[in-house]
Amino acid sequence: MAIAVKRRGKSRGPEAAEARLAFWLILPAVIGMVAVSLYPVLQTIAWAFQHYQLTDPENVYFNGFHNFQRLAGDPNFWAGLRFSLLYTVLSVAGQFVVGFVFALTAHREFRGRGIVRAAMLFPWTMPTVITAVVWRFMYNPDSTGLFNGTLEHLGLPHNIVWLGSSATLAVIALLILAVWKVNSFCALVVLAGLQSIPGDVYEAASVDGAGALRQFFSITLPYLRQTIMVVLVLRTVESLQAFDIIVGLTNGGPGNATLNLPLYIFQKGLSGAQDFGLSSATALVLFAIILVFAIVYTRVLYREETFA
Amino acid sequence: MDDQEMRAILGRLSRRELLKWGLYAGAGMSALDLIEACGGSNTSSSTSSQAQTPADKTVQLVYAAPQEDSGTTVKLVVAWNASNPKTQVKYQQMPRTSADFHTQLVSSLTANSPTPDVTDVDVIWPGEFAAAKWIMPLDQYVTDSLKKSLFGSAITAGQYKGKLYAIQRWYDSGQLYYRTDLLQKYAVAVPKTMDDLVSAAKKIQGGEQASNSNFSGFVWEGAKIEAVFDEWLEWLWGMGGDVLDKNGKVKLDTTQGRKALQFMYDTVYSEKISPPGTSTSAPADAISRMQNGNAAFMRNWQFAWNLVQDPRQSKVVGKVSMAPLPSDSSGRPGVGCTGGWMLAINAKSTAPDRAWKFVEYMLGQKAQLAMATGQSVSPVRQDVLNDPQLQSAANGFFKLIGAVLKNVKGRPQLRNYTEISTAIQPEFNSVIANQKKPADGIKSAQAAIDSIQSA
Repeated sequence: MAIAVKRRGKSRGPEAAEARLAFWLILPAVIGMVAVSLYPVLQTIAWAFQHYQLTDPENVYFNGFHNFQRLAGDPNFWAGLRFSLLYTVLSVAGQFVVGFVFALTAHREFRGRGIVRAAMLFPWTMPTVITAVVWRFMYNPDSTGLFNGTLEHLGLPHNIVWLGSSATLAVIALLILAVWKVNSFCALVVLAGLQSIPGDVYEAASVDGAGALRQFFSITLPYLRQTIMVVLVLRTVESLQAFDIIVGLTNGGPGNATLNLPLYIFQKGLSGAQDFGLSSATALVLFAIILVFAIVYTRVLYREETFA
Repeated sequence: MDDQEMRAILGRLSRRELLKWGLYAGAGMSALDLIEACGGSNTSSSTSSQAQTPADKTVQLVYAAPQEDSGTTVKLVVAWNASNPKTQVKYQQMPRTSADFHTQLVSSLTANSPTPDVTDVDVIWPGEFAAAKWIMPLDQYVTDSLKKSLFGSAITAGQYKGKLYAIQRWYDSGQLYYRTDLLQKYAVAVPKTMDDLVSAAKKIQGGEQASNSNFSGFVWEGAKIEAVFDEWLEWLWGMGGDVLDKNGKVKLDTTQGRKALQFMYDTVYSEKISPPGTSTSAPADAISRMQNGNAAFMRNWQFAWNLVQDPRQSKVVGKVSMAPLPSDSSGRPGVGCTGGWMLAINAKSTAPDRAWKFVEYMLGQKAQLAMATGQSVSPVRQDVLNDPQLQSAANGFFKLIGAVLKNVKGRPQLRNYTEISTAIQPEFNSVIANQKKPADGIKSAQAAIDSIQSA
């Protein structure tokens, strides 16, 4: 929010009055933002260092790093951290690669391009938790599931327990859904980037004798660097925060095979232990991880001397 | 909604109070403050004055219970208000789902609100609420005659550390559903022991799978949900085991505990009477298999009855009956795990003696019968269950549920029940998903809850 209110010298004329008016006009918005974003953040940081459990309301006190020590001693936390990272790396890579291919396809001129572009976006526009629950039905272990039902029609083995027999299978099932659901978002942003590359750059390159591959690596990718960064940062942050997609599909199962940090936070803070201290501490850890990813991306991809 | 019903919900609002509410709402007070405001005049009086309320003083109580469609709760409150002019009760409608109800209730209780005076509590809450001193012990009020009129578990299920904190208002329970036509076809008796269940399920499954490859002998819930722990408790209790040691700590890793989980594992992987997808099976999945004629036996909650007997969605209407779950030997009755709602009194209530009178009324014959007929839920009184009106009710539920309710048991009351159960569920689920052997699953579940119990 940048409203230019400059004080020039000591002028007390109409400009100063305007500045005062601007101050009062902005104030409600600032108060609102402090109340709904700054306050919860500070509260979370404070809780992370407190013994604060709703079930033990008479004993609330600062306990230093005890919550973090408890996290370090909980194998489920480490499993959740590992899975969060694994899920993020694999799902973002999958979404990005598939989305990129779709974007390149949709960028070309062909009949019905508008329809293809609209259809591509369809999975992304559906509410995540509903999609996840529908996919859970599709993965049903008996023939009522789409996948097993199809296998049955083809006369193949059809009693595969997709979400409850092996950790690897459940993770793959989850990744398929994650890539299907969000690749179109990556495609959309990349497509917008592609369309902003001036056509004469390519023409000049072809005149100089550059092939399609050379053009892709020397023109398309460099031009898209900023776009790619935006996509990767947004997708990484969202994948680290993934919650609804996992709750709807596997609820962290089988066992704890697909339990990630947000689910762990939910279990410790809201659904099970009502331990706000521990779950706030976990939230801080998650925040730190997201920050590291954001910094790395910015360092690697953001450079001042980009084209445009 | 007539005027009386309106009053039951809104309480006796004076114009001044209405104005106050309007002001609160206008000032954007949070829902929490509004809840407290609902207490009306009670809020202002000191919370320490928990002595006897003078008999002639008019008291306004708040009773919190889940919303329900039949209107029975409203009718019960209206009837109470009509005959108790000095103790007026306002029905505070709470969310239907247990988790949302819990969130809302805990916000008022942590704020030391004296209302609701009387509240419904899910069967797993009393331990948590008692440990936090949010609800009061009821031992001083409970008479022997009241105890005698209720099923035993209605009282025992609400005890925490030797004191009674909540009394069952209506029951849910786990039991065995079975196909009467198939039992007849294969000449097997209703199983009384776990071995009987396995052999009967095997026999029927063997015959039926020839024509229906989707058929399973026995379906139950093995997903990562609360039910997987409840079923383990049922098999454990059926073998005479218990989940609390003598210090009141949860002990899973016992001989019977390992056997119970082994039995659950075996139904899927050794005896193969339960489908491989059991690890993702929730109550609705088991019901759907039963409805489609793909199962001979099913362990499920009471709500399954109406669904398997509903001609619009079930192919087995009139072919299903129910019985208590089997146990390890024919001499011992099988045990169902209870669910449903209990009644408790807010420890900060300003008129606990009047609140108890209302609790007594809700447990009385008249209220229990109205509730059973109106809401189709199991009453906690044998005399009500024997009532001809219930015994002759159309779909036969009340006729069969009596045998089950004689031997039901409540889940352990713990300060942190949900946390403990949430830690156990994934471990048991990994066993049902064949990721871990039963003995290892029990060990890691025990380790997980030991770290919670020592924290």
